Amino acid sequence: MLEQGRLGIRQLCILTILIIAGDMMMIYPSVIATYSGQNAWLYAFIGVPLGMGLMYLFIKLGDTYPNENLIGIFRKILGFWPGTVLSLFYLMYFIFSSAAQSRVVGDFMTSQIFLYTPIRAVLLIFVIPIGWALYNGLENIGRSSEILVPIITTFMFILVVCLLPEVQLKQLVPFTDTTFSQFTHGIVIGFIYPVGEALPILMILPYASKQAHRTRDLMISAGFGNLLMAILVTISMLVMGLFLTQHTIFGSFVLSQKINIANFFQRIEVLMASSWLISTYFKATVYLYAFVLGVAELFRLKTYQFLILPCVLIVYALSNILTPNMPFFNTTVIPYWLEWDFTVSLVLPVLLLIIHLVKSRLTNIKGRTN
Amino acid sequence: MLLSIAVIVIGCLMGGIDLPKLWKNKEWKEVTVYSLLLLTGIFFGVVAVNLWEFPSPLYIIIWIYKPVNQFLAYITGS
Repeated sequence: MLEQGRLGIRQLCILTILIIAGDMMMIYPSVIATYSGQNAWLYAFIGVPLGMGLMYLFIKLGDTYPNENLIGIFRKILGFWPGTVLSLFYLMYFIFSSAAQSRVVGDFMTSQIFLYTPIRAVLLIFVIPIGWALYNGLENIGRSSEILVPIITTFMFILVVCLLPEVQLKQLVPFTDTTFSQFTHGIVIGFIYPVGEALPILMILPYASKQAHRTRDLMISAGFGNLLMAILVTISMLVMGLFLTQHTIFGSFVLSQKINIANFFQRIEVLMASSWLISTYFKATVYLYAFVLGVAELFRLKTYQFLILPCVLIVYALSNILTPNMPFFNTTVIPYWLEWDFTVSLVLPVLLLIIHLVKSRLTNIKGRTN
Repeated sequence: MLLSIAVIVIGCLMGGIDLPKLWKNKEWKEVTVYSLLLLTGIFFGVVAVNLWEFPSPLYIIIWIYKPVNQFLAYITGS
């Protein structure tokens, strides 16, 4: 087996929450509000049980061959060459996602906090700790996520509670004239966009301890992460209204700038930004880990550690050339990225499960007739 | 120019850390995969640090999903 480390079940759940919350904390309100209009918060809450169902689907896919990671599962289900082609598609998804998350961090830092710093420097500072985390292995990623997750939940809690004085309830009034397009987009984005991007936990699922209530815990953590995002969308709609939610890219940063309690407790937006940075860091790390491990599994290598340095270099370079500027990513690419997420995390896993079911039925029938 | 040289030197350092051990153990598959990844990294790194105009790799995704997107837009009527 490639990875020698073992993750505890709690570390796995925390990594799931971090992957769901990372990068979505800033982007998700504006994306879902752009596509589904005034009822965005309703769709976000509908997405919570649907996201738990999606996580159940992932675990079912992982349980078909419990000792194999995603690449191994593809090869076992589809055969060698079709599995290899599909693996290449997924590896492209992993490396592009990792680079895109780094790029979003760079865009955020250079447009909101470090206005005169070139983006290459910010990206370099962000990418080097990713390589360091990978070098130290999966167990250390899990343990450090355990330390850092209270920061994120605390800051989310502070954000929601301190914004309560600013709430205007009339901004939540639902419109009844929702179009069909808005409805379907809202439902799909509500669970595909946060939970669907938790796909790389299938790469670390075989290296986690196998306990009886693993399925339940993972589903609960997926639901919890998605619930955090739904609360964020709701509070964003309540405070800023529909128009501003749609048109601010880094929504929760602007939200936390609005916190002002008795002219004393204010300007805490950098705390919010740091909690977002921590979760995005773990998301990018797990995606890059999935890529490195996937390459090692694809070529049947004995270890994966020596691949880390070139992969980090590739992520650094890709995150620079991925988009020429921020509007290209946020307006041109996001619709296609949503469809990519949809294919990768819902359509293909369902197809794979159906193929696996049919195959196992056929072998059962053959075994009986013989 | 200085930036390009820096990236190439860093790439060579990475190769210098990992490659000799693999070469000594005669793991040719590992050496091939490693050098392919490293050469890709150095090439894109040189492009990136010099801020050269380079078509975004995301155009692959746009090219794949453009028909799907247009079909969905036709169905939902948006």
